[in-house]
Formats: sequence, C-alpha cells, structure tokens
Amino acid sequence: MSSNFLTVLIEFISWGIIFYMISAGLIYVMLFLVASPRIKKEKKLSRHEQIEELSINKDTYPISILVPAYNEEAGVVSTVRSLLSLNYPQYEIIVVNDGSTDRTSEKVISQFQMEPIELALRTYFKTGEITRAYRSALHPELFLIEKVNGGKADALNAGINFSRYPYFSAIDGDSILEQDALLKTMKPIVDSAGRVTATGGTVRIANGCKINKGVIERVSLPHKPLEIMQIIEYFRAFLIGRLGFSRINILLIISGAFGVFEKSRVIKVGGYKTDTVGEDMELIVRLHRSIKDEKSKQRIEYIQDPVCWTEAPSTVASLRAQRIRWQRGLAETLWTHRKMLFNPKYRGIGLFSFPYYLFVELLSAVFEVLGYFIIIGGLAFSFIDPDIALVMFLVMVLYGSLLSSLAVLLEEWTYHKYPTVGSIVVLYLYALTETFWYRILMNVWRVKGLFYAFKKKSVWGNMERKGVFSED
Amino acid sequence: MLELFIWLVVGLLGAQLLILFCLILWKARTISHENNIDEIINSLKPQFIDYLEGRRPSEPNLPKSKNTQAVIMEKMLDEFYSDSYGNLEERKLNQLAEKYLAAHYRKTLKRGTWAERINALYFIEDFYLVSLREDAYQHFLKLKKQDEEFRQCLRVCASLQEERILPVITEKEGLSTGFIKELLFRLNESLMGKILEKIENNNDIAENVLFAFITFNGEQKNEPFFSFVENKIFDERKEVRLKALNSLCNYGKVSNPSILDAFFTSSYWEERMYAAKLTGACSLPQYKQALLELLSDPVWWVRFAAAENIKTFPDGEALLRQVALWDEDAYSRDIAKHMLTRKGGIGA
Repeated sequence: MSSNFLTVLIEFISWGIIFYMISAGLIYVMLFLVASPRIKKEKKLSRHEQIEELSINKDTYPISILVPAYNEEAGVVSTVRSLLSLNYPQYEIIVVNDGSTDRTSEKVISQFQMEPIELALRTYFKTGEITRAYRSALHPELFLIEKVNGGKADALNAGINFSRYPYFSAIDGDSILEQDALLKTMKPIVDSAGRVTATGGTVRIANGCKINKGVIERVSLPHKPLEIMQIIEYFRAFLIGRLGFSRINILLIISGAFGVFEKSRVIKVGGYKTDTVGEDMELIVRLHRSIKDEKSKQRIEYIQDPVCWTEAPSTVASLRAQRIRWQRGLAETLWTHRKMLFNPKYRGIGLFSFPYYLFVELLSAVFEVLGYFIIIGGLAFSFIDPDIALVMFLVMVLYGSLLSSLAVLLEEWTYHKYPTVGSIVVLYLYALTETFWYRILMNVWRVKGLFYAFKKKSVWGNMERKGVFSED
Repeated sequence: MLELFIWLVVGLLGAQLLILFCLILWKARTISHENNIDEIINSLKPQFIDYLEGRRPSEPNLPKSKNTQAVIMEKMLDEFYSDSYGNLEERKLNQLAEKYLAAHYRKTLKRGTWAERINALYFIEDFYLVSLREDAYQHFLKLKKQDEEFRQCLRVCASLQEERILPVITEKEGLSTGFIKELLFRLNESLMGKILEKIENNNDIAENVLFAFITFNGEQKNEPFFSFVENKIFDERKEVRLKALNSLCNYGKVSNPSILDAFFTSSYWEERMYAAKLTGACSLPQYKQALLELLSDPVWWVRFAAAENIKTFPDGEALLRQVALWDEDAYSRDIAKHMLTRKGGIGA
C-alpha cells in the first residue's frame, strides 16, 4: 500500500516536473518571439552611422565611469586603458579600490602617473571611509580613490559620491568596453530626452579573444569546454531572455559588468544596497519600484548590441563561487522585494517578471536536481515507469540543449561575432552537450547558492583571475 | 507519449541542423563575398585617390553589376569622407556619390526595409546628395511614427536645407530640445533667420524650441543672434533666463557687464551660479570680490562655480590659497582647497 502510494507520488512529482519544464521552455520561446521582430528589424542597421551624430553632439550627456576593483591587479590596467580609448565626448573614469590586498592601486598609480589630490565630496550615501584620492597626470579625467573594504556595492556608492556628471556607468574591473559602447548605450537615453533612466548592453565573454592594449583585436573561441559553455549561456541569457523582457519594459537585470544609470534617480532610491551580493539586480528592482510608485513614464532599456567583454571564470572552483554568489543575490533580491510578487500595482514586473525570476531563474535548479534523482533513482530501483523517466530526460534535453543551440543559431543569424565557420559548428555541438554535464554542474551549484542565501554575508567572491586582458 | 517526445526532440534537432547547415552555407558565402569586395576595393582605392587628387584624368572602371558598384562606392566614399582623407576634392566626391548612389538610395527609400531605408538616409546626409532633397521630403511626409527613421529623415531634410520642414521644427509636438538643436545645427543662416522670425512672431512658441534656439546659438557663438539671446536674460520665465545665461557663458561675452549685477544676489541659486560662471567666461575682474563672497554661499554648486571661476584669473590660485588658509568660513576653505587640487577647467 505504502509502496504504491510512493510510486504514485513520484509519478505525480515527475509529471509536475515535466509540465514545469515544458512551461519554462515555452516561456523562453515566447520571450524569443517577443524579441525576434526587433532583432530582425534592426539586424541590417548600420550601428556606426547611427551613433556618429552622438559622438559630436553637445547634448550627449557627460558620464562618470565607475570601476569598482577588489584585487583586480591582473586586469584593472587593461580595463582602464580600454576606457581611455572610448569614443565619447565627455567622461571621467573613477577607479574605486575597495581595500584590495593585492597591487591594484600600485598598478594604476604607476601606469597612469596618478598624483594625490585633496578630497571634497558630496556625500549622497554613507560608505566605508575614503582614505586617499589620486588624479592622473597623463589623463586629467582619470581618478583613483582608495577606501576601506566594504564590498562592491559600497565601492560603487563611494564612486557615485565622488562623481560629478549626471549619468554614471558601472563597469567591472575585469571587463572591457568596445570603443563605441558608451555611445550605443547612451543613445536610448539621449533619443528619449532622458525618459530612459537606465540602460544595459549585451555582455560577451572575452576568454579566447585576442586583446591588445585593452582593445579586442580578434574574436575567437577559448579552448576550455567550461569557458565555451559560458559563452553559449550568455547567448541564451542576453539574446533570448533580456531583450524580450526589455521590449515590454519589465527587465529586472542590467548586468553588473556594464550598465548606465541616471545618477539623480539612483540617489533618489538610496544607491546600491550594501548587504546583498546581488546589488546589480536589486538596484534595478528598486528603480522599477520607484518608477511605478511615482507613476513616472521613465523606463529601463536594454540594447541588443554586444558592447562589453568580460573575463569568465576558467576554473571549476571560480565558476562555482560565481554561480553560488549569483543565486544568492537573486534569492536575496526576490526576498527583499517579495511584496512585488503577483502585485498588480507593479503590472508586468509584479505579474510576470517577478514570478519568472522566482519560478524559472531561481527554482528551476531545484526542479531539475529533483528530476535527476527521479531519473537515476527511478531507473536504478525501478520505482517509476521507465517511459516517464525517459520522457523527463527528453524534456531536459529540449529545455537545456536544444534551447541553447537555438541561442547559438540566433547569435549567428544576428551578430555573427565569431568570424569563422568552424566556430559556429563548435559552439553548436557544445550547446548540444549542455544537458549532460554543464547544466548538471550549474544546477547543483545553484541549489547550494539557495541554501547559502540564508547565511547572509556581503563578499566580493574569490574569482581567480587569469587576467585575459593583461596579455598586452 | 514517449514516442511523441522522441519525435519532438528528433524533429527539433533535425530542424536546427537544417538551419545550421543553411547558416554555414550563408556564412561561407558571405565571407567569400566580403573578401571579394574587399579585394576589389583594395585595388580600386589607390586609383580613385589618384582620380580625386587630380593625378588621373578619368574615373577607374568599376565591376558591371549595379549592386556591386553601389556596395563598393558606398564603402569607399564613406572612408573618403572621413577625416583621414581630408584633402580629397569634395566636388568630385559628391559627383561620384550622385552618379553611383543617388538612384540606388532613391530605390531603397521606396522599397527597402526599415533598416535599409535608415542606412540610406544616413548616407544621403553623409554624401550630401542634394538631388534626393525632394525624395527625402516626400518620404518624410509618409512617416507616421517618431522613431529613428523619422529623426534621420528630418536630419537629412535639414542638411539639404529643405525649407518646408521649418514648421515641423517649431510646431511639431514631441521633439526634444536636443533633437531640435541637431536640426538647427544643419540649417544655414538664412533658414535660421526664418526660425527666429517664427519664434518672435509666436508668443506661445513651445519652450523646448526656444531653449534649443538660445542654447544652440551660444554653443556655436552665432553672432547674428547674440542680441536676441542676451535679451532673454531679462525674460520673466526663470528657465528661459537660465538658458540665456548659460548661452552667454558659451558666447564668452556680454554687451554690458553691469547687467550681471542683479544676478549675484538673486534669490535663485542657479542665477547666482551662472553669474559666477559668466564672470569667468567673460573674464570680468571687477566681479572677483563678488565671487569670493559666493564661496560661502549655502549651495554647493554656487560655491563650486565661484571657486572654479576664481581660478580662471591669473591671480586665481593665489586667491584660493589665501581663502583655503585663512578664511573664517569652513565652506569657503573647503571648496577652495578642493579646487586647488582638483583640476579640470570649467565644469560641465
């Protein structure tokens, strides 16, 4: 009797998981369908001609670029160099050394001839104490501030306090921007005369690319399977997910690696939250919340152009740490703003975006891991009909591998950033393997991240930098 | 059920493999086509440079296909129009663009996709294809949505000095100040004069048009419109006064410095800030004392502007050093100290 009950229960759970995964897959397809008309419409648009005007226009808002850095000695110089060569009429670069224990400051100071300056800050937010500030003798718009360690969010808040322009951009110390990245990202803001309050651009993985003096010279694939899989994962997240969300103004994430924000609105909502590891998403949710609370017509946009290249973790340990941190950040943000869930006051955000992030982004790992147990345990101990186990497996292949391979095809159809025929084949074949190893790893780490979310502690994470940008 | 899913997975995989195969073929063909075009351009470019610099009497021969001709000429002329080829004869460049590209763009405006039409509009403007003025205007009349195509089409019409768009600039709702400035930037003096007439004859002119006109003229230091801008500092609307003060900073002059007196003690901090900025921009040493007093203004921006503009005078740094050391007011000392170490000229 009890054995029968258990079998029925497991079958019931199995069909629940199958139904869940099909629904989640269909949501992805729906997002893709929402995004694709715009991708198709803009596919042939000359991106260069489009921003020519902005590069000389005096109304292109000046911008402060904040580079929070904690132990970034491997990549910070290249990041700054790439920023110095940006095509933008007026900007300043502020590197915020958040109490690094390595030679981050020394590298910046020696490379750019930084000289000490006196501090006179407007304090919008309380931050860890700023101990010193420097200005480059070679590049008058480059600043370095040193502060007591307080986490990435605290470093960004300190950067905002120090900045003097009406818009700021946050970029990770391990990322580089394409030369026209700022212009492309600011375009929606300028075109809308400020109605767009924040924008984010597509982030790509730089591992494997040839980089010289902070500029991507040749785009190519890395050799490590772990890095290749992350490239595919980014395609899936940016090309299918975010653009669809942005189209209906319910985008909840602008990547921490690169985004542009209206300073006054960020100040109004209180800056970055320092007690979460998902400060980038949390800020966007708060911005949405304040926009909706004020019944403002402002919006947050995402541009589909690949504009920022970032170094992806290349070892299992660093990738694991990153994914656990991301999952914790997501959980913390959703928990902090739980009142928005299913709340019609927040329209698409409350009724679609929030449930999506909760049930698809946060909890899918739990469903999938449960699925693994059922498939393996069920087949090994025969407590489930093998047909059901196989159906579940096939659904996992659909949801994992086939969606990711679709993202690879989409990238080739739109941006074809990888210049050789061989690279599409490699990416496609790797995408097909996703369900069998990469996704399993990710899901296990994400479930761990969910558990860790209960032990709150604000840290930078200990990503081991290989310094893909330092091979100048 | 199992069979259904097997067929679903196999079917989707098959469809994807087919798409992959097509994409591979398309990519291989595109790469080969692009290489081919690049090769032709590389061999033709030096010949065209010789022709454009007058060392070669006749035009080099292009491939026969009209489409290939358009692609090659578009790429090549785009490069020639850039700064790095500044010494090429513009008249000849324009003739080449008219000859090889005007008909192509005319067709694109009629039958191209949204992205192709916008690209055509970008190049019509870049290559200054006057023969397409009427086409661009007629195309503009068909546009309903205020999107990138609408904006670029207006830019083209303005660049080609199409007078019929002036009422659009001054009366159309929804154009931002920045965009109006972009259009003004393209107009010649005569059309600018007509815009001024429209502004002067219409008391209810939209504020963003007025702001754009005032700001743009300051940025360009347009002498013919200086007195109009200067008079606007007495306007009853605060925002208009501020725009005019800002614009005068860009002009870097005032007809009579005493018109600034009242602004140093204005009840609006923005006006005190602009008074400080104008003192520096117009180099008016008689107001140095007024600037020193503004260093203790309750508003940070005013103090910052005062300090920044004191620094523009030859003895500015010495004055700031004195303030930093001896002034009784903590605000003044702080901002003076800040200005002495943080360089960067006039702030945004």
